[in-house]
Amino acid sequence: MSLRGRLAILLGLIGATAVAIGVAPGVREGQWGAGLDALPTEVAGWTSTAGAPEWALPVDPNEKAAVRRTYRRAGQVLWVSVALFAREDDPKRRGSIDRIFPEANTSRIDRVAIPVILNGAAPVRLPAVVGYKQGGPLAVVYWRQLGRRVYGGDYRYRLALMREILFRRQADAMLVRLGIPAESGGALEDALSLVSEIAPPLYAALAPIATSSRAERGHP
Amino acid sequence: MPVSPSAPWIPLGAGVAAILGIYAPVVPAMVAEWAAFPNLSHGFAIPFIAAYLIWARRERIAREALGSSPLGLPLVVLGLAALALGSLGGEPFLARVSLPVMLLGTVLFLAGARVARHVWAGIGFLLFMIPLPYLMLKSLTYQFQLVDAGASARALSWLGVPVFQEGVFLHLPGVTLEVASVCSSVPAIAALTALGAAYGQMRPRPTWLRAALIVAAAPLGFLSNIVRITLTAVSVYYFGPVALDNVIHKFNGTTVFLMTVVLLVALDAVMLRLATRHRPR
Repeated sequence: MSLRGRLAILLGLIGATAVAIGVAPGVREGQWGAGLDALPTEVAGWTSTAGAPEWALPVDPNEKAAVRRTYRRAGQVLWVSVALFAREDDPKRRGSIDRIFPEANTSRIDRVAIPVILNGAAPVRLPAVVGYKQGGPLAVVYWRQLGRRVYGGDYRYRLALMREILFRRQADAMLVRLGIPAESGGALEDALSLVSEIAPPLYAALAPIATSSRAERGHP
Repeated sequence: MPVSPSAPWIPLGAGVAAILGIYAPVVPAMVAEWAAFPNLSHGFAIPFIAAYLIWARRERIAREALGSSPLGLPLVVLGLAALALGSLGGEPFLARVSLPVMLLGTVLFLAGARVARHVWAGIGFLLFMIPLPYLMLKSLTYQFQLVDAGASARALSWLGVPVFQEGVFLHLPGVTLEVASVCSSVPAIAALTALGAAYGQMRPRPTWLRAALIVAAAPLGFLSNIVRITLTAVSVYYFGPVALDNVIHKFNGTTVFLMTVVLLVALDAVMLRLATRHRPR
């Protein structure tokens, strides 16, 4: 094939790619039909008050909406944050991994995975980030949701988000975090064991929020 | 009608121009990241070094007859697919990393393997300008923070400075230093590996020597950073926290970086001499 012929093929391919990128429907922002007040004030014997300390569960400026509550039971305390992120296809609007757990004044950060059965099916391995601070270790357990699907691992979530953007043109996600100070629950293992107690009812309560955005577009 | 000797190169130029056009939306965000993060600032130098690496071989390129390689078109298709997936899927790394793939595919497709043999190093060098995905970079940086703190604590003990390491903290008498993310070895290793790769291409060398320069740059970058952290801690121990605010500390990184470059050049000179001495006659 002549050089001109090869150039024509190259320019054709580049043009076709440019058109494919240019004419793809834009990613639309969900309406989040159900409100974050679905987060229960009482769960599994824990009672709560509004708010959670920012030093434990940092606020992300990209949150479209969020609710934070402090749960207490018999001298134990844990904090819950549920944040909604819209249009995570745009890296500038994406939830930051720098704001999932507090890093300042933390001498060491360990990562462990806790298997938790959230929806009565197979266990999901949720990441627990344990930061060692002067006041004692703080564990932040978190998961992300695209609809009702739960993602514990960061890389798996990013792959799922990419698939969501490519095939559904949606990029709305929910980040659920549980902050557990180890000193209030005794040993770190005891503190982390609280997750399997409180996470499933939280997941169930949050399901209407997670599904509302896509139900409006015919993706129940 | 006489045909200009540059005429066959015009289609290649047109192909590269079309590539630059389709990548125009991808580049500004990457440049913004180079500007925003000091760890990535070496990215500004990479395109110029890559261009120089190709320019330096212009005479050899000009002597080659144009052809076409069967590898070219699949690489072009792969690069464009990655660009489309990355652009439409909100994954800038994928879109960015497809640029060198596209450029190499285009050269192979339009000019052939003989020309590609002279430009692949310059095109491949562009990979150094692409920031790693932040998830990966963050995890890598933290692991290096821990290793750097441990190695620096050991060096300080050898130098007789009392130190207690707690994770990324170095507790000295009366002051605690943190080996923060910006202090980790990752930026030094990234910059020096790029430098080693470019330096190795600057003049004719055996391939094993080029590879050795790239491989040696990583431990030298790590070593330079340990020296930097240790010098900072020693100066803080003897002169107090004021040592953190003065010019010596601020230019410490540059000084150690330059020292490492000198080491790299010296290493190259020694290996080059060894290679010459043992060359079969």
